[in-house]
This record gives sequence, structure tokens and C-alpha cells, in this order.
Amino acid sequence: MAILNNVASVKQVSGIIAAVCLFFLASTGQAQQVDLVTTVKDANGWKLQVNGNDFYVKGVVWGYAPPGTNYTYSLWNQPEDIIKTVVDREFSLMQANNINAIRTFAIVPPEWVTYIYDNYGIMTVVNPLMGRYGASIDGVWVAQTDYSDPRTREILKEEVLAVVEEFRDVRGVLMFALGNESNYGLSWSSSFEIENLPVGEQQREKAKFLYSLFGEVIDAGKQIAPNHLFTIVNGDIQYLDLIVENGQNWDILGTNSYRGISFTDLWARVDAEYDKPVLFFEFGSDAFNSRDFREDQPAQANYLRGMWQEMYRKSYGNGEEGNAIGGFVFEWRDEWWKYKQTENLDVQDTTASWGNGGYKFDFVEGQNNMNEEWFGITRIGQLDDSGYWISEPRMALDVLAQIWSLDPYQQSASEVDQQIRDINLDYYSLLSEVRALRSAQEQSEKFRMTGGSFKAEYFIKGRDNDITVSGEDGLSFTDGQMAFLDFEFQPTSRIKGEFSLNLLANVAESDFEFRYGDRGLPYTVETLENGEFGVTRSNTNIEDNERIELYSFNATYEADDYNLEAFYHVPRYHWMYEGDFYGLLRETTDLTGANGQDIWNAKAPYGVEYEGKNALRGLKVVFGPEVYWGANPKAIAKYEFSTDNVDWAVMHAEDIAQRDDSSSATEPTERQTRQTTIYAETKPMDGMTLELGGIIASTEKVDDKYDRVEGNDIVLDEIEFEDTLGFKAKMTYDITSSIEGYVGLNYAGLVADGGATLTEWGTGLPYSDLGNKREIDGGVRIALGDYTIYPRFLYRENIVDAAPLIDPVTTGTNLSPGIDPRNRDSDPFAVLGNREAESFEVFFTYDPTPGTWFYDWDADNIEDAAFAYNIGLTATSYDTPTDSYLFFFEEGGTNAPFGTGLEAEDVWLLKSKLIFNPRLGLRIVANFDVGKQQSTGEPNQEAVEFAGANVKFVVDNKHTYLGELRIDDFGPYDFQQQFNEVYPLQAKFEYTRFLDQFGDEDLSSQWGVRALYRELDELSGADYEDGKNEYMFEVQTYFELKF
Amino acid sequence: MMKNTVNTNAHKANIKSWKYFFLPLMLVGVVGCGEVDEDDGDIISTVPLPTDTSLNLYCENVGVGAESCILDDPANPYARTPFTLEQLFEELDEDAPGPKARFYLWGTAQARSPQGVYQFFTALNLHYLYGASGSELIREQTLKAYRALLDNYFDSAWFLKVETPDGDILFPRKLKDAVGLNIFDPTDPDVLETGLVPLFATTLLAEQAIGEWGYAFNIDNKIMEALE
Repeated sequence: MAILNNVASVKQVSGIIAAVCLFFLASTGQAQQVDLVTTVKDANGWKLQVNGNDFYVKGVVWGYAPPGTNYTYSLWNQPEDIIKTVVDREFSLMQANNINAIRTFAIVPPEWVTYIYDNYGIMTVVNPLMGRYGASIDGVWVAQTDYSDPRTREILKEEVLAVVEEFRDVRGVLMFALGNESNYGLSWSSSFEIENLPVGEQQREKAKFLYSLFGEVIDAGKQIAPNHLFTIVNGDIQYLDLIVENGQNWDILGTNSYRGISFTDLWARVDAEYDKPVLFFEFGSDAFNSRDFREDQPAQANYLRGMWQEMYRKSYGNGEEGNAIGGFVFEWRDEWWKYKQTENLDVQDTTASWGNGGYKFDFVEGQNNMNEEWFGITRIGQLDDSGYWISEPRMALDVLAQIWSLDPYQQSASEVDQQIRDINLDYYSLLSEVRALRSAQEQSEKFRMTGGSFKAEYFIKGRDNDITVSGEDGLSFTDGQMAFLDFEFQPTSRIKGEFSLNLLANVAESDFEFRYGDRGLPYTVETLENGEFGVTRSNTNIEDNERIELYSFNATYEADDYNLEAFYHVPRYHWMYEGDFYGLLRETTDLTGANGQDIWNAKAPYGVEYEGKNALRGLKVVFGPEVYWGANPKAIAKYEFSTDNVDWAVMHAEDIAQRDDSSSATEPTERQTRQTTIYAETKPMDGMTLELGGIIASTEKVDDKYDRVEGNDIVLDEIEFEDTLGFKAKMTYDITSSIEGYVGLNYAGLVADGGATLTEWGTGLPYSDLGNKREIDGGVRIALGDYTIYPRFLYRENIVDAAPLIDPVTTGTNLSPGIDPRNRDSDPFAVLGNREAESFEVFFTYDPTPGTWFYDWDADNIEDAAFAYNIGLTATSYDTPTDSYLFFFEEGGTNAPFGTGLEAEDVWLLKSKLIFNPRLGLRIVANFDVGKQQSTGEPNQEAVEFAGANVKFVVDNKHTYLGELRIDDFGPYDFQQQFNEVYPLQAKFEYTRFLDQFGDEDLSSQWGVRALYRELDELSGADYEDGKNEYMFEVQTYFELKF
Repeated sequence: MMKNTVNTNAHKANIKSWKYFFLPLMLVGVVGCGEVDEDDGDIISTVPLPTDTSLNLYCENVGVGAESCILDDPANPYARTPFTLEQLFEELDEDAPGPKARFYLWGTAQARSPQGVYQFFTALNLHYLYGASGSELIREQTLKAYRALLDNYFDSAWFLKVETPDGDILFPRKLKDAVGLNIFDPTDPDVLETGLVPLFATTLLAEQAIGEWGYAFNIDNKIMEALE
């Protein structure tokens, strides 16, 4: 038994030994896979070594954002075949040009870091930005990271260390670097103690928090990954003393430096004060000459050559500082989103956004010369068949390839210097010109067709009555074909633009939908003729209407002191984030949506915008026939400026005429008017923002008469100047790091009509642009980890209530004239959307990745959480009726009132959105809503109680499945709520198959089938035909080719 | 030293910051004051209707065509009176105490929604006013209003309702022809409304005036025609 026990013990010990050996072998094997990166120093200076071999960093800053996308695009979220295509194409080109390392802003997944290293020998810097562009703190997205906040420090540290943990054993990692010019982002609102210091000292006090955090994190990081190098990415060598103080444990001084062709005293200062090797994480030159307003490849190449020449000279063993160990040229390829970041994403902007005297080839005192979208040593070329946007080498890459072929450790400084001087710039300049010429031939620079699409569709339609009477013969069929042709032009370097033409063949007529292209449907013109008993009517059929039309147009002219943009039916944004507190310039971005402009063939926005630069910076003027959807012909001017701690904006909007047609089907036109506003924003104390505004509006209505009921009397009164005035205030306050509150007050005189209200976080509170109100609103946003609770309220009273209907009566020789609900055509004001309201809502949101904001307009496409959802309830009590709404009466070419107003009512809406990303290649988006809502015009019906849901599956960027069901709801179009058209049941199912790798509804070639079904009753409008049709359906099939 | 300075400033900042809390509260005060003064305006619950025959023309073309100045005429008791078609015909017109009140009533209807019928009754009541006042100014305005019907609403019709045991029967009557009779011979038994005085001393003068407007009235068939 004892023997047996011993045998068992031996077996156990053997097992343990075997396991330990296996573990050891496994560990050793893994350790052997990871390169050892070190820095070494001797009397000749510093070197970086990989596995003991000298490694001069010949790197680039790499990112891949196709035209039309911005920083929200992630290559690593694309299907694997796309990633592989892009990586192979990009890194084979880099390898061929002697690049040995990259730095990226978006962290490359571990498996791809290794793939790139194994296949192309290129190492990757892992660079957590550590809150540089905002951070999620307990579920709240904080745009200005507060490095002094203990909780923020704790979270940032945890995040960085998690990355270190993830990458410490990944083959191909060159080092860890933290932040990106984080010393330039110290703009959080701080404590009184700091805020009361002079500006320079404020920044310095804040910087202390930043660098101490860097120190803490790197110390902890080295505990996790002791065999890796750690550094930061500093903005130049600002706060070098703080770096010295906190960074004795750091391996390298990482810096972004834009000093021009020379780094001047940087080497000497670092050598004297810090004694660490210098590695540039960004440096370079743009390739656009803003003085001559043209691409300037030789200038960029020449500057980069000069920089590398100096870097080699300052490296090990040359008798100088010896602290240069290489750098990452900013940047590998152009990025077209960088100037405005969310606008003009498919256009390479030529606006210089900052000035730098170090770049003398295009510097003019007082003017900007740095063009953010032109820093690439390659430029973005055409899209190839594999879905890759080609990187086209610039001259700088050709020159750098020669420089990178040199080894500063193997050759003497003089040899290296001579070889760099010997690089034949004329040859490479000629090569770049030939390349540009070839590219130009392909693209025809002055005018070229850039693409287009062709769509063919075929519908089957059926209605209850037709099928009951005729069986299958009751079905009807229709087909349509449509094409778009897109063009670009650039007649001079300062003028460029694009336009699209739309061409129609047949037009398929849907019984369910209004659609773009309906302008080509046959229609009948009624002709009036005098007859014996008045007018007789005759009809003329028009069947070939408007087969070709200009769909959109956009052109810009960039002068030294201003930009000019002509726009026609292209998306444009509001100015509410730049001083337009009253929302006078509304956003016009919904061109192609289900309720967008295209279905009515509306052509807004249409006009011209002037934007001042240099001395006229802050001035914007926009004018035109319809500068936003529904606008009267008007001009709007805005001037922004700052004084001390206050940002100001002054605006004036002046209508030039009243539009003579509705902007949609029945949307009424608005009387010609004017508005002037002033706005001030300040941050009076830590975490507080105070916004104040004033408005003078509709002064043309002064002396206009209106009636109101006062007790038992009807009173005739006049608009006075004070009725044109309004005041507005909003205070936002960070109560704690995870609780933000706001309160707003808004007084607007009877005719002090403003514009749109900035609504965020999905609010459904019933804001109104109209005057005649005293309003208070507020809310508290509470973040609890990944959850956010956001209760909000709005309370509004009217200064003058809606007018009731009192009939006139004649008694003897006296008249009681009565009164009726006002309307905005006949009266100076009316109580409509600005009616009295007591509204409360609460939104509950779960979003573990607030960097992709759940309430962004394209959250359905960009939300990257495995699961995120919200649920919100908005309840509103309207205790008083409204005046009479207007609608546009197309036959009469004028507005007409509904006659009476909406009754007092309590309404509510409960809605929820859920987004699932259970695996790469599968996205599920679901929306649910249920509620009770009133009409927006037609008064003679009770509020509608409805429910609806839709679910969309996107599979592998190739298939989408959409199902939707709505019960007792208004039809999908605005006018259907305006006229109270309600359907007992609406259902939709759609399948779309994308035929390319983009998987984008707007960009991809695709075919699909859409089935629509409705049940009808007496509330469902003309289709019901007094009971003949209790249902109708339509099946649409389509094929769309994009080219 | 530094610490003390910071604390002092912090204290000041704290006090200063309160004003920012007060600012919105001050605004609340302003907002609270935003009431319409109850003493503002004029009470119009009851207005007297004119019974006299003296009419001041508020503008040159008051009651003519699409001219809407009658809506701004402070003497117009109907200027702000809402009415439906039914109320206009069956209540307000019948209850009006005289032609001046009716002129304002129909002129108001015409200004709000220009059409032949309103134009005719506006002209008709001017015609009655002329009969009552003898004012040459009103006679000329009457002729302008009649001409406006011919120029703008030549084919407008009026329906005469005849009650029969089998129900009401509507007979169309062209208003241009009624205008012709009112100008040419308002004593003719076929006129739409009786009690009108002649606008011209002789039918020849009436014929001349109608001709100058570009029309011809045939007294035999009582039809007004436009001259080519």
C-alpha cells in the first residue's frame, strides 16, 4: 500500500514536473517570439536595438480612412478580407520603400500587429491615447479630460494597463507610447485655485497632473511588461522640466515636432536637460502650398529630406548630441476628413487651418499655411476592384525611400550626408510630375465624370376592391428606370465643385410611397374656359415631364481672405454650435430619407455662403432662394468674436420675399420676416457654462392688430415693439464628474419667433420656434457606470392664449363681432406648437462604449458596443387648445387654415432602440415605440394611440433584412399626421443583397425586394374609397448598380 | 504666500459665481413680467352698426376688386368679424340695419376672398347707398364696383332659389346681366334686387359708359357681352 502510495506520489510528482516543463517550454517559446527592444547608451550616444541589433526607426504615422469617412471609421471593424486586402497593399508598399515601423492612432489588433511584422518586417508602436480626445468616465463621455480628477486618473490608468497586458506578449510590438500631444489638451475647467492663475500658470498647474499620471502609468506598465520600452508622445518639448521630474523611468523622449526644416535646439536641450534618446512620433510637412494655392510636392520632399538629414547627423556616433533614434513621418497617406472632421468628407479640402512660420515655402505673416488634409507622403488615389483606396506615392516617398535605404550606424556622417545631398531632387520632381500627369489623364483634372448609378425597378400592386372584382387581373404592374451621373470640375486651383444629373426613363408609380423621380409621372393639367354657365374645365395629359434635371451642385472658391461656396441640394448643417442660440439657420441634411426632400422634389438648401478668413475671421453670410428647407428667400449674417472669457455672436436674418410654394406637399409657407439676435457664452466657474441670448424678431408686425379674449370681453389690440423682444438663458453645470444638470429660461414676446431648438440625447420635449411664451426647461443627466438616466422637463405658458370660436351676432343695430382661432397668415401670431405645455421625460441608456455616441445620427451604423440600448418616455399635458394651423392648398397656390384649433389633450410616447453586435459581421438594430399623439393640423379627430416596431439585421456587410409593423398609426409622411390619416395596420419587409464589399445602402450596388402592406378604414384617406378597399399591398423589386 | 493668494481669489470667485445663479433668476423676473397689460387694446365685444348713409371711402378702390383696405377701415364694424358663408347670407346680411352696414359686410367678404358674388353685393349696397345719399362720390364708386365684376368675374353666376312642393329649385343667373340691368334700367322688373335708383340720367349715357368699359348690354335679351 505504501509502495502504491509512493507510485502514486511519483506519478503525481511526474505530472507536476511535466506540467511545469510544459509551462516553462510554452513560456519560453512565447518569450522567444517576442523581440527584445532596448535602448543603449555609450559615449557616442543613444541607440535603439531590437534583439541586440541596431534599429534606426524609419517610420510613418499610418491610418486608413476612405474618402467619405472620418475618425469614426475603423478598418478593424471591416470584414477580414477587406482588412487583409488593405494591409497587404499598404504594407507591401511600405516595405518596398524601406519603412520599418508604424505608429497609429487607432490601436491595431494584436493578430494584425503580428501579421504585419511577420509578413513585412514592420514593427508597431502601441499608442493608447490616454484620454487625449476625451474619455468615458463611469459611462459619461467627457470631451475635455480632467487629469486632476482622481476617478479619471484611475480609469485611464486601468485602460492603459489593460492594453499593456494585452500586447506585452504580442510579436511585432516596438514599444508602448502614451497620449498624443496631451500637453496641448489641458483645457478642462479646473478648480478655483488654478482658474485664478494667469493663463500660462494655469496650464502649467494642469500639466503637472498630466505628467504625474504619465509617470504613474508607465511605472505600473513596466511592472506588467518589464521587457518593453515605454514613452509618451509630447507636444514638442514643452514642459521638459516636468518630463525630467516625472520621467526618469521613461525610456525615450517621444515628441511631435513641427519646427520646419530643422529641429533647431531640440537635440541640445534634451541632451542637456533629460539625457534620453529622442524619437519623433510626428514630424513632416504638408504638400500643399497655400501661398500659391497648389499642390507642392517638391517643397514637402525637400523639407522631409532636410529633417532626416539632421536626424541622421544627430544620431549615434557622429560627434554631436547622438540622441536621435529615428521618427515617424506624419503621415503615410492623406486624410480627407481632417479640416472640418464631419463635413466635406469626400473632398480634399485646401483650407489651411493653422499657421507655422517654420514652413517658409508658403508662409505669409498673419495667414495660415498648414493644410491638414495634405500631409501624406502618399495621396489617396482611385478605388480599385478589391475595394482598396490606392495610396499613390508623392515625391516625398521616393526621396525618403532613398534616405531610408541608408544606415546611419554603418556609414559615417559625412557619407550619409553626401548621399542625401546626392539625391537628385530634379529627377524625383520630374517623376512626380509624370505620375501626376498620368493621374490627371486618368482623372481629367478640370472636368471629369466621377461615377453614377443606374436603378431599375418593377412593382406589383393590389387593392382589395380590384382583386375582389377581377381576381388576379386586379393586380397592376409598373416599372421604372433611373440613372444618376456624377461629375467633378476644377477649372482653377481655387475653384472646384461637383454636380449630379438625374435622368428618368419610365417612372414606377407606387401606391404607398412618394419617391424621388415622381416628377416624371404623367399628370393632368386642368384648363379653365369660359362657358355659358361659368367656367368649364378641360384636361391635358403631360407624360414626358422633366426627364433630366440637375440633382445637386456644389462649388467652392477659396480666396486668401474668404471662402465662397455655392450650394444646391447638398447637405448643410446648422450653426447652433457656433453662436446661433436661436437656431435661425436650420440644418438641412435629410435629402434622401423617407420623409426627406427628394420625395417632394424639393431642392434646398440653395444659396451661397461667404466665410471670412484672417481679418474677417468669424464672419459668415449665407443667402439664397432657400438656404434651408422651407426657408423664404433670405440672407443671414453672423459675426463671432471673443472678449476676455466671453464668446459672442451677433446675427441677423432678413427675408427677401415670401416663398410662393410649399416646401413639401402641404407645409404652409411663412410670411416674410426678420430676426436679430445676440448671444454670449461664458464659463464663470468650474464646470459651469452660462449662455445668454436676446432676439428682436418680426418688427414688420408692429402695429398689426389681433383679437384676444379678456374675461368676457373681446379685445382688439396691436403688436407693440416690446412684443418683438425675447430673452433666453441656459446654464449647464457639472454637479459631479458623472452628473450634469441644466436649466433654461426662455421668454419670447408675441411675435418674437426664433428658429430651431438644439435638441440632443433623443429628447421629445415639445420645443417650439414660435414666440408668445414663457418657458422653463431643465434636466439632470446621471451616469452610473455604463448606464445613464436623463430626466428632463419643460413647462411653458403663453402670454396670450389661443382664441376660441365665438360666432358673430347682430342685435338691433349692434354687432357682437365674435372671434375665431387665429392663423399665422391673417394674424400676427397664433398659438400652435408653442401652446401651453407641461412636459416630462426620462431616458434610460445603456451604452458601454460612449465614444460612439448612442444618440449620434448614424448610431445605427457606428455604435460598436456588443449591446447597447435605450428606453425613453415623454409625457406632455396640453391644457389649452391651439389656434388654427395652416396647410398649403396646392390647387389654390396659397395657405388655407384648418378653421379651428387642436383641443386640449394629454399625449405621450414611449420608445426604445436596441443595437446588438454579437459578432463581427452581424449587426441587429431594433426600434420600438408606443404612444398617443395628436394631429399636427386637422382638428376634428381624437388623438391617436399607436404602437410600432422594426428590426434590421445586417449580415456580413452583404445582406440586410428589415421587418416593420405599425398598428393604428399615422401614415409615414408628415402630411398624414397633419391630416390625421391613420391606418389600422402597416407592415413592411425588405431584403437587400449588397453586391460589393462596402455593405452600405448609399454606396453599394445592390438588389432587393420590398413588400408593403396596409389595412384601411374610414380614417385612412382616399385609398379607403368608402369601404371598397380594406387592404392594399405592393411588392417592389429593384436592382441598383453603382459605378 | 501663493497659497494665501489662491485662497483669497477662490473666495472672491465663489462670491462672484453667485451672480451667475442670480442672472437666470433675474431673467425669471423679466419673464414673469411678460404679461399683456389688461388695459391695453379696445374692447370690441359689442360695436354699433352704422344706420346712416354717409360713407367715407377709406381708399380709392375700397370695395373694388381685390382691394383689401376695407379691412383696415376703423369704421368697418365687420373688419374683424369671423363668419361662415352661411352666417353671411342667412344671418349677418339679413340682420344688418342698412346698406352702409351691408356694404361693409360684403366688402369685408370680398376683401377676404375676392369673387363675383361678393363683388356684386358690395356694388349693390353701394348702389343703395347712392340712392339714399345722392352722393356723386358713391355713385362713381358704385360704377367702379360694377365694372370690377365685369372685368374680373365676368362669368360669375348667382342662383335663385325657388321653393316648390317638390323641393327647392335653383335657377342660375349670370351676374354680368344683373349688373347690366342695374346700370341700364334698375326699374326693370327682372332686376335681382328692387328699390334701386338710376345711375345715369338716360339709358344712352348708361350705354355709353358700358361701351367705354368694353362691354355692350342688349336690353332686348338683357344679356351683357364683352366687346372684342
